[in-house]
Amino acid sequence: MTDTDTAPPPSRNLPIRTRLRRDYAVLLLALPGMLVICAFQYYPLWGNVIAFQDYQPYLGINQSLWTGFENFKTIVDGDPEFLNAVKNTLILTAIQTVIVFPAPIVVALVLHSLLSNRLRQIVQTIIYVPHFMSWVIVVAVFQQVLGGTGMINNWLRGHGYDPIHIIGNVEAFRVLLTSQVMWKDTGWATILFLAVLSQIDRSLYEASAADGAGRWRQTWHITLPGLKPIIILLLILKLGDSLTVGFEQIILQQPAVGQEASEVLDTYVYNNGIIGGDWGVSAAVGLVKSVVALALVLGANKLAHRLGEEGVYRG
Amino acid sequence: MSIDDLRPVTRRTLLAGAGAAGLAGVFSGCSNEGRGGTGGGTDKASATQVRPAYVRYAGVKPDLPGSDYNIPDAFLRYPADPVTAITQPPGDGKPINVMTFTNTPIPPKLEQNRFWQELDKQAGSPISVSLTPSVDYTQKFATAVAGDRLGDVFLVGNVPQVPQLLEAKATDLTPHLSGDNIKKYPFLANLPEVAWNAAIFGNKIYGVPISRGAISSQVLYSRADILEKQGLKAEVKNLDDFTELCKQLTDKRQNRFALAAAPTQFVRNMFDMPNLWSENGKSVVSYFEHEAHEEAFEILRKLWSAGSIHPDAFSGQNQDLKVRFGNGSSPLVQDTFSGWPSYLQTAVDKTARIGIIAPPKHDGSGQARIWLGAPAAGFTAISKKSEGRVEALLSYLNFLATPFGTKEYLFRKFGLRDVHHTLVDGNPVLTERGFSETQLGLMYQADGPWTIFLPEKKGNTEAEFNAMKQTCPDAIANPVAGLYSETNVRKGPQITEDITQVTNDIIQGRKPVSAWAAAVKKWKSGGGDKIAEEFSQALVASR
Repeated sequence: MTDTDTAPPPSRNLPIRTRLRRDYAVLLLALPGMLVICAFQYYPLWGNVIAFQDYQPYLGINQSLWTGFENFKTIVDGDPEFLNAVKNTLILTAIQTVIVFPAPIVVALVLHSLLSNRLRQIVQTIIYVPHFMSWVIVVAVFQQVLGGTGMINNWLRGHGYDPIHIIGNVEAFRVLLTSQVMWKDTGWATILFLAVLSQIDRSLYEASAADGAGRWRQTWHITLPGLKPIIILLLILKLGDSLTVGFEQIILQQPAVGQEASEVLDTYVYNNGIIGGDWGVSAAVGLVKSVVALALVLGANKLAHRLGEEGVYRG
Repeated sequence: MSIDDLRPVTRRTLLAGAGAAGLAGVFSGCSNEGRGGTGGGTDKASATQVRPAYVRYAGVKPDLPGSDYNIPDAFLRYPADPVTAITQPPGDGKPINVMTFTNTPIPPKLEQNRFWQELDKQAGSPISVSLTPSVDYTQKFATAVAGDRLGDVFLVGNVPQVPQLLEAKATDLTPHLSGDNIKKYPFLANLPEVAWNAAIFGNKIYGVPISRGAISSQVLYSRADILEKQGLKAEVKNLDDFTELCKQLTDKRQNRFALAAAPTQFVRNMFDMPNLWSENGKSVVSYFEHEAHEEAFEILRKLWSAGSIHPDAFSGQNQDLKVRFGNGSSPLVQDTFSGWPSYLQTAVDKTARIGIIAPPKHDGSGQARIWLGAPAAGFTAISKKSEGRVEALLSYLNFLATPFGTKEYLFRKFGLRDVHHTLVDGNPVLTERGFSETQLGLMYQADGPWTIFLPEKKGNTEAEFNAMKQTCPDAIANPVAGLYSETNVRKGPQITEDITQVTNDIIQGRKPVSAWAAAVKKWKSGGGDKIAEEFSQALVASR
């Protein structure tokens, strides 16, 4: 999103000097942020060249041998471990898009319909607090509650029942991951939707009520259309993240269920590159992943424009 | 103190051949039978020429000498008048940056750490340490290499292409340590000969080994006090005795589970499996191919389904075995002999007593043989960038290797009197403050030969010494410990992880015992065969 979005259209036609003179204060304000972005986002991009090298950390980028597209063979030839990582990633992405993504919308709608402001604020605070916990804490909390000697199983054993095997159970792993993501971030994501909801013109509801519309009809014809632009915007951004399904969360729980069930692209890059020493192949996988994500975002944005939506930005 | 010792030590003397094309010339590996092995003097070729001379430190006489049994010496009391081993501070006044791993909580920072301040003074240089938990050290090391941020002194991680890495990044110590040159550093000369194999690559010495050996053999610890209270005997004569003992020690309603983790190695010991590799003529065979695995799995499955193994034994978090053992929720745990002091130091219950259960042969036909620990837990190298300070840095390591009986050892392990330790019956015992402030990872920078000295609790020194005397002399050595296989560092972790996962699945009943054969086949084709081949070549070359 650039400043041209908000500036009046004629500014595009002004000579650059005039625009600089007019906007220099704003540009100056943006400078520190730009520097940080350049230093930590753009400069490291150069490191991607190791995808085309037989990179050895002790030789560095300058002395490692160039191998062309050799490293990409893993992807093209379909190395079984790589394919397994792709499979797990796609399954998790599907789950996250279908279940995790709509969850905050539902919660926002429910909260929005609550009459008492006070109650709404209390609920909102409680559900967004987990967002501020790191994954280590979240995983530990789940372990303490659901683990083999967690709260629930200790109680079950103490009362003579059989414990339930959840943590470390391969079949339950995806459900576990999804519940953790939802517990941690649903509340936080709700904030955005609530903000948009509060901006929907009240008079629309009053008018529709006068026309005899019930709750459901109002939701369907007023609330959801009001939310549409933000939903589409987030969905497009989500596509860019779609191959990123939670590195830290998974790497922490990987030993419990093993790599077959838990390896995703990000953990593959880490396990194969930093631990296994195949830096070049890992960089190639990471690079392809980024290119695919970029293509998805650009493509989805285009599609949104075709359908007459705002999308993320207009180029 | 102990978990790291369980990791197979795979980086070793250079194998000229597959994957090691970066270095020219023909190298000879070193035979490395372990202290209990038959070899030790079989190295011919070039390695013998660079091998440091061994000069045993004779300043103290052990109360219980262990050399006849290939185990460490034991001492019942610390000499009242310790020898001053080093008169001049070893450092050159400039800061020494060290990167190594730790298995204990991170110590307080320099300003609040009297021990550290005193260490800087005694070392003659400000010491700054970068500590990483041992299980994450390989990752940390790999990224430090990539970012060119290795310290002046660093413990070498278990990464691919170690020989080439050392050539590029580490100082060649051969001119300083080979043959009689090492006598300039008398306490490095006191390190057991076999430990140096870890640090000799081809014809060059690249580091100082962290000498371990028998002390890092894994055994089954028991809470002797709990067993006694229940009237149970710590002596098991066969498989059934063992499963019965586990059953007696399990009380699900009290959330008590006999074993803190699956006793996989203990059971494998009962079936006489080789220590990771066994020799078969000119080649080596992995213990994965041993025929008794299926039988061993049946036992482990029974233990798991009976609830004798802690339910969180296989989940990533909460793996703190020491806590489970310490608070009595699991009175049996597998660990290395070197873990003993930390079990004493972290004991919650003051009446807790530690015992060792030696594995019997499964059919009751005698005592089974445990697996002998690797001669070294790793080695520390000196950065090429610090080559100009190499003498000062070696002197620093020499200072850290001062053995039991010296003032320096007393300080390193026990800090200052009345600050970090108090005298109990004339012996130093760490205080809580001492335990927290002394954890600077010194024992993973350089260390003297291991000594059994457990002043924390009366009787423990003898108990550990006797347990080692009983189990270690005929322990099985790993024939390829000390040898290097490139495929083993490159592919080994991944395929071992895969087969460990199958092992865990079988024990927990998620896969049938028959899945084992397929897993071994996959392991072999995924790199296991290549590793065996490389090790075989290295073994032949070392003879």
